Amino acid sequence: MTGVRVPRRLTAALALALLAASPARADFEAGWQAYQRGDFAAALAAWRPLAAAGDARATYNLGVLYDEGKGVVRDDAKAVDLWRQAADKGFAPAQHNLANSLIAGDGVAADYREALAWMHRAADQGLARSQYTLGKMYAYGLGVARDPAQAVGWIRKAADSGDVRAQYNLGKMYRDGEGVAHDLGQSASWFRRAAERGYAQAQAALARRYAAGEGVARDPVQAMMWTVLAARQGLERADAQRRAFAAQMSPDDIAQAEKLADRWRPRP
Amino acid sequence: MARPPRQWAGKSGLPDVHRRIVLALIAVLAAVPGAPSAAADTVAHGVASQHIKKLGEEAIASLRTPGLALEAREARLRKLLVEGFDMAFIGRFVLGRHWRTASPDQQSEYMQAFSEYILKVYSSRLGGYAGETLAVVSERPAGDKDVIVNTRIDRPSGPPIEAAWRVRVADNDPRIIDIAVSGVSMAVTQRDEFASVLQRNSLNGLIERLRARTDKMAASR
Repeated sequence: MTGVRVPRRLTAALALALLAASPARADFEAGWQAYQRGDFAAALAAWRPLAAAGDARATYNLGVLYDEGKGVVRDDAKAVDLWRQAADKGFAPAQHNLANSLIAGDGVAADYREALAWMHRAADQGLARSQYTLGKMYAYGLGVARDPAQAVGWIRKAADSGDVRAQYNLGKMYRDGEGVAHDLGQSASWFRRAAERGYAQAQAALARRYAAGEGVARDPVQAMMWTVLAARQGLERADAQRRAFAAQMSPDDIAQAEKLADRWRPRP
Repeated sequence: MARPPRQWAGKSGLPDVHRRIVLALIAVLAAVPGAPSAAADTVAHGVASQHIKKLGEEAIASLRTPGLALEAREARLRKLLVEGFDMAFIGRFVLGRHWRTASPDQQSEYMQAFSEYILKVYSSRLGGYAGETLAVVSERPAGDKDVIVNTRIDRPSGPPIEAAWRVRVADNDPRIIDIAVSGVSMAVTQRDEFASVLQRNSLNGLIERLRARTDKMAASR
């Protein structure tokens, strides 16, 4: 073999480490496969010993099984307990779920301040979902004084990482000038990013931008296409909007919009 | 393969009747449509009965697709639930008088949070399911707009369940608006649960709780 020369002693150490790690890894993987099959009892049996040995991911997964009542009697308090253990080890999804249990008061007394602290830790680790929720907590003033600028900051981080709800919310914030300077062009462009990924709320919002010519050139056919796409996902508001737009359009334009909607595919 | 029924019993966030409704939902969505009796056959051709049968068949196809990951199965079930139920109607009913006093923004945020919540609760319970049998027993009109489809769900793990599906048929587009098991309505049960939350919290508080529940992340590899 050519290329990088690895010191022999390091190779040996690596091999040893892999050997030591692989049984646990294999058990974890067996649990994952069982989980995917829907055999939650087997998943539980595979992950429980790993969790007892201190594996944060297995501990977190056990918490999910308890939270959703999969393979086990649903037990919110047990889920909170397991997530707290994994969260203390720094496992971001556990921090995120623990924070949500603290917001909902599931299995623990509701505590927005503690929820905010955990959500912060997960967001600081770069979890887009937590960044978004943290942004909403600042926007609503949950566990902290209302702070629209902080809200925009966190929601923008999540939007940049591709969280569609964050992209849609950022679009709304630019539209309403909430925590950020009013900017219809930016608003439409964030709605578009989420709409292109298939987020129904954003599709309906983008449709209204096209209908009103706000932030984009007015285009009734584009407006109709986006509202049709949102309505097809069951968004009631979009369905009403579709009827309102149709009343002001020619049959040809409506047909063209529907054809565009048929051909449309979400961006991955 | 039948799993022990234990996982549906005992301590749970859901009241007992709610659990039985979940069972009924599982059955209709995952059932192999049972051979209807001769008497049942004559009524099983109604639009509402067909709707429930079709939903069941599509759900089986989703659940039995080999090699499909759990999350993908749950996503398919979500889609079936969205298409099969009138979520907006149920959401409004369940909120009761609070719907009328909510601002338009609150209504839209609530509706989003409610349907996400219902979809998550049911799809996560159905995704790992393996199979029971369902037969349409009878169908009868209820009021001007609705049809009640009575079904019997046979299961290996216990006595059969009688579930009644209230289907609203408008513009030839049938949608389920309620399920009653042993005469107890899911919509009414859910409305009572929300009413008790709303005695202690604002509507925004209820929306936040629903959101927090659906914002939780799934198992990780």
